Amino acid sequence: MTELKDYRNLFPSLNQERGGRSPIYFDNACMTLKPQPVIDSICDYYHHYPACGERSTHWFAAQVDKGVEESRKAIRQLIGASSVKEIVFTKNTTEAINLVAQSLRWNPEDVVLTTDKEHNSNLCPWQELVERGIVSKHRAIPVDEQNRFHLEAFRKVLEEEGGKVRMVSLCHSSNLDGTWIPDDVIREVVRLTKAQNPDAFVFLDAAQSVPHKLVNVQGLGVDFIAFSIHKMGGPTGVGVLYGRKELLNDESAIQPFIVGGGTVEDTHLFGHPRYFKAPYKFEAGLQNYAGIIGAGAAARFLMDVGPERIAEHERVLNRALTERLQEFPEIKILGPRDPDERSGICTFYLLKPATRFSDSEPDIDEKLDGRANIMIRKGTFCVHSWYHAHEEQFDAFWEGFRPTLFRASFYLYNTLEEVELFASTMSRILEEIADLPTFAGG
Amino acid sequence: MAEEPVIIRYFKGLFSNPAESLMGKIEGAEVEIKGELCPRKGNKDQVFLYGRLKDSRLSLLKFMCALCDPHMFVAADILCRLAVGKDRHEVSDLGQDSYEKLLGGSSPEGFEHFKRARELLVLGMMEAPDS
Repeated sequence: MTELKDYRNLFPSLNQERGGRSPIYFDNACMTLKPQPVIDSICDYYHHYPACGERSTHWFAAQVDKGVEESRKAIRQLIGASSVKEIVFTKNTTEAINLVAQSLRWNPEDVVLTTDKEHNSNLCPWQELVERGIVSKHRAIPVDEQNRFHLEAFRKVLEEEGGKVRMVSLCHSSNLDGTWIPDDVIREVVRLTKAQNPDAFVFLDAAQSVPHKLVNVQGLGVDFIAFSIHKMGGPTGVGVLYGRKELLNDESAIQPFIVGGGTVEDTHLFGHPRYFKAPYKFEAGLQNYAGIIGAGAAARFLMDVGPERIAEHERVLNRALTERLQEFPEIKILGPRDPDERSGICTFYLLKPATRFSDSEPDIDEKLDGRANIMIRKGTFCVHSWYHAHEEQFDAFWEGFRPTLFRASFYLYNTLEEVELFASTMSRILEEIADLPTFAGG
Repeated sequence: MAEEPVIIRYFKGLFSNPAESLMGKIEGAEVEIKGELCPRKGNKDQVFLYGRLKDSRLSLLKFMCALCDPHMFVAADILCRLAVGKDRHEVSDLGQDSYEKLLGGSSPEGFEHFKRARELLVLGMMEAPDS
């Protein structure tokens, strides 16, 4: 078996230097780097058979169809789906969630539940349904005091809604702080959801889980999951919607909302088009063939490495980083204290009212990048709603304190040496701003 | 050892006494306005101003900053202290002398931030129901 560290050599973007230093890429929750087999598969498409699939029957087209269906098979295998017909290619996770939100046949009294810590992509599509009067309500289940999914709060909201909950859509693993919902809790969510309303669905936003751990959709029993290929070593512009086969083909439950070429068996000038079966009826228009073929290569690469090995490696890195950051009294880590509950994400903020002396000076993330090629993320990571709902927690340090969040997120190619360099660079940066006040209570 | 910049000295003083802090929200404030102000960072840094108005004059003013550097904190704090008791025309007239007197020294960069915050406050007062 190939050692994990040897896979690093397959990422060409890591084999370069700036100022005599290698890149240290800790922005993996946003986008991962691409391994050579993925790049090769995309180049192969453009070099040798850059044609259209699903329509033509010639030499090149046959290769496209073969590549696309092999990708579907690889994705099916990666997530443990029962059939390739359950794998719909989309543009990204966002589009996949919107596809379901816009395609399900809703009742006006339906209620949608999410947590109060969702990425905008698993919030706005549901809010939009309420806004347009398609469903009656969206409710956000509060996370617990350590930002984890709170099963009791979920149970309480289900009871309050008295059987009207039609959709429960949850982030499987959070891009904000790495917290994740354990498998047995998801199974309980499915059981409770179906018990209060047999026509209700459970959807997982798996954008941060599928790339980093073993996810088995059949074992979880969920109806839908969505994830993005660009977060798992694959190309940009491709996502996946998994939906249970019998559900995707149940026209009384779901109908495609983007229709046209590629989705129909036959049309007439009058009357309803005759759509293909899933997944094709959900893949309208000419597809991103290079991306889909690259997605298959990414899935095969991931299975070769082993999702469980990736998860364990990220835990090791996060434990090391957490231990080092806890040495600094100015740093507060967001989410659970135990790094094992934060998968491969470490989001932190400084217990200081400012992170630099002047806005003409680079901020922390820019200093890390400029000095040591360390790439992290700053901001609210598309979870603005959580920040606004929970911002008063920061008043405990100083009324009105609203810190800037910084996020380091790992992947299989990151190393303990990189973590150590990050910590030592942070240490020097903190020394430079030691003169700025530090709030007590961290 | 180089002399500590006046902005930093004032800024550190802001966090030495919680009782005197003007950071925070005023619930139900007549003036409530958000601005993306900091001059040098593509105006990305956010400032929120909250003011109580009585007979078109400010009786209390507070601020919140997000992603700000000390210059904007200081500008907002000084504005909140100087603007109390003033109507929007008098707020518009707040100048460099008043700013530097409270700051305890000169800081052209700091005054640039102050001017942005002052303009934001005047706009907020114009939009307030009592204006």
